[in-house]
Amino acid sequence: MHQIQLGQVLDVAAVERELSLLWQDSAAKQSDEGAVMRARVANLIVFMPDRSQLQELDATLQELSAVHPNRTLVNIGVREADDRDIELFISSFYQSGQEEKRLSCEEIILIARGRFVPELPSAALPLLISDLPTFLWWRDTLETDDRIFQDFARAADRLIIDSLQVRTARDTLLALAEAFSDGQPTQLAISDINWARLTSWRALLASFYDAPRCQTPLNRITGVEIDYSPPEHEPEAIAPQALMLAGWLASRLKWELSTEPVQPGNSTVRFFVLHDGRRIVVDLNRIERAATKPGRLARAQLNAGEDDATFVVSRHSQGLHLETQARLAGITHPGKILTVRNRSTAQLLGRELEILSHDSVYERAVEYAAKILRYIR
Amino acid sequence: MIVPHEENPLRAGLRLERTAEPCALIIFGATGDLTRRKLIPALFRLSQQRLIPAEFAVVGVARHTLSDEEFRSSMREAVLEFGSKEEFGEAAWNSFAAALFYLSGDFGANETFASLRERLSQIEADRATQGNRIFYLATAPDFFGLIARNLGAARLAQSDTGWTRLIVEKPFGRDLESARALNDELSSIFKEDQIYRIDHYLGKETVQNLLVFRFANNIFEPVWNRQYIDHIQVTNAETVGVEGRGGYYDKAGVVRDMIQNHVFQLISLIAMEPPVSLEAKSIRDEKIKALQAVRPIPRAEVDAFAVRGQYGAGYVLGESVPGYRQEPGVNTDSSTETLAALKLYLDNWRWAGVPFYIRSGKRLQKRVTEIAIQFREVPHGLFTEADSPLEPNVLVIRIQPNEGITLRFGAKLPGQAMRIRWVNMDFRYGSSFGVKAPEAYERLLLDCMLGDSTLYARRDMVERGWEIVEPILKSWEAPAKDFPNYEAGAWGPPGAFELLARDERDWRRL
Repeated sequence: MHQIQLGQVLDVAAVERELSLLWQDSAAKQSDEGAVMRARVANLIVFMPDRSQLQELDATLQELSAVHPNRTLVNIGVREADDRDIELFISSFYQSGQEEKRLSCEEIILIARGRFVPELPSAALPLLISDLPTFLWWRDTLETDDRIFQDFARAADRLIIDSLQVRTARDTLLALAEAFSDGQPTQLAISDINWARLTSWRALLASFYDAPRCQTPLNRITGVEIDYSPPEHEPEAIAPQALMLAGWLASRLKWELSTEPVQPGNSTVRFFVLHDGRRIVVDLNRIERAATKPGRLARAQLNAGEDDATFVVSRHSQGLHLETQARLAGITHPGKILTVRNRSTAQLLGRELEILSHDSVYERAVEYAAKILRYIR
Repeated sequence: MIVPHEENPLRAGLRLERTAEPCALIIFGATGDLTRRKLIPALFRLSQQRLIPAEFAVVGVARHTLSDEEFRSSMREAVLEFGSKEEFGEAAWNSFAAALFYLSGDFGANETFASLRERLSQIEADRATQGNRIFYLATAPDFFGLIARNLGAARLAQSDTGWTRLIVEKPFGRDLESARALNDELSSIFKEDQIYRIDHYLGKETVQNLLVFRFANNIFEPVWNRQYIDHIQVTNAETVGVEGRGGYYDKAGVVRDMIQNHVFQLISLIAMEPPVSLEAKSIRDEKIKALQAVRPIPRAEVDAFAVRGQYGAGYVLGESVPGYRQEPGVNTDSSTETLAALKLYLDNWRWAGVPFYIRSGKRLQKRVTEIAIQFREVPHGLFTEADSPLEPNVLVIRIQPNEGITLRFGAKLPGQAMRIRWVNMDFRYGSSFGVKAPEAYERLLLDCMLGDSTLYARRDMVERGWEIVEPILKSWEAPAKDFPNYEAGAWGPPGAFELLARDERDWRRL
């Protein structure tokens, strides 16, 4: 990593020059015939509150660069610290690509402390490469009225968060829901990496609705059970995955939240929704299972009591695959097993960098999850 | 039947790729190479990606006597050998393998099809495949008509409850007459919209990108015509020989094996007019119009438009390799062409006077498939003192390897003098997208399950391909006195170079 001394004013040309030199240097060091190609298909702005996760972030960025070579601007804003003006470091790294080609990527780290933190956007944003899509990966508590957040968000096409990693998932979901529901179409589209982790679960649940023979019982759902393991940072809280899955089912299937009193238990929160006048019991169950990572789903089950039907997606006890099971009129039908590929954060993030548009299904799911949170409070 | 995805409320916004409908895939030739190398690994990968539903079954049919378990075990080995080992998981395999079944039988025996019918009804009930069936003819071409007839006789060409489709592997006939006969035979049993003629080239990501490149970008189409384009070169060069297929290849040759199907598909995508939509019919209509515009080559003038070659012994990629006539299964005095170079004209408004040069061959210096569009030179040579002759701009669409697009243009060399250096502006799939593209067979199998025939060859396209090459094939029935006429590892015989030299052009140096 190479530090660049900053004067009173950021010299963008100097930073660009240093980055070019780094690239040339890494290309010159190649002893074999493979070329080092400088590739940038997007800008990625990262904001985090301290440097504790910098190493992990670097590993993620390195892996990400194989698929999405970016210019990454890592902004570390240590708010509760002695004042220190912005320090700027640059580095470049490359990933082996296809046919001995290596894609060189650039990382610019800006660190500010104390009262200098709000200056970060003004130093970082001029370093964005023009005309490329820009993503903001916010790795701090999300407060949509925070000035720094707003400055970065204005420059970005898409905001990315990870509700699995945040320390206050409840506040994050509520803040997001507020942003979605203020009636204003926001320019900024939003992704949650934790929502991406639910894709397999959603796909398998959706597959039940593909089969006509399942339609009748699925239209007469009487109960939903969602099992999750406790989140790492807030073991007593409901895992955002469980809330988002419940919110997704409810919003897609047009279930209304019932005003019936919530039935809190030690490890289960039970609430009710209504569909065509029918009451549906929803149980969010916190379970302890060694093979299920913190904050992840273990099982989702739809029950249609009158039809003696159940539709289950569950994580295998050893966590290696997801499996489905449909039971109709007491008869079990062939299920499906999917290997859980345990996609890394970089792989999940990579999927999010492929899209720029709003994900209205996610937005409605979060709104509903926030409604549930407010209701069961 | 299946609930249409757009009616499934939970499918909205799912960022998954398209998912197939429940169906049974019946593979004739289930113990053959294609099934092992391509089909089962592709199906397993589709299953891993959740692109095929739980309500799915594969019924392998072949002459060997095997139990279901033995077939599964053999396919497991195939997936481990030819699929991705990293993505292989026992649990996922076991789930997939439970959908694999095997039926032993002679393709010519009525009993085989009666047993198939019986077996299918049981499997369809157990696996809930809803009566949807795909019959895949992965056999030698001699069996295509026979199997189709027997499917018809066993009332398997139509399903009582679902849809039925037929996938036919190449070669689709060996000349115009046999292709028409096969088409007629299949058409007497299956409707055209049930027949999927596979051309795995169309499943390649870069081939599909041709449509995006041409019709999603506004800057290329205005110059995509005779006003700006001097000529087009399509190269399909292989370093391999006949790879143990000497018996087949010696009856086919490169025109039948590559040009009539794969290369003409590329030509049609390059030359077609913009389709009115992305519907299969719209795209195929435009493609056939492009091929219909190809000027027929009079039999008497074949030598002016086509050159044939056959490799002798030589060196390829640093290894000594035998000549074609020394390959196993090949006649020692064979006149089969292992290389062909063609010049075609498309007589239509867009392409009048623009030659399309095609070369396709085996045992050439390096493996490359590309389409090079060479633009006309600038109308007035302004840089006469530039010390470098002006060169035309070239746009190269590389199909394999290093899939991508390159634009060649002139740039000033830094310095006091006005010198021009010709540089390449490169887009490489591997540089901009690190994502692995799906294998061609994954894409094509999934398309068939979805009823999308865009990337399959239509009857008229196949027959038009044969019509174009018919005079060449007839002319080349005469023994070639100068064979072998190029060394393995070279770029073909002198005649291939003369074909362009006569027009004061050269093949691109690759």
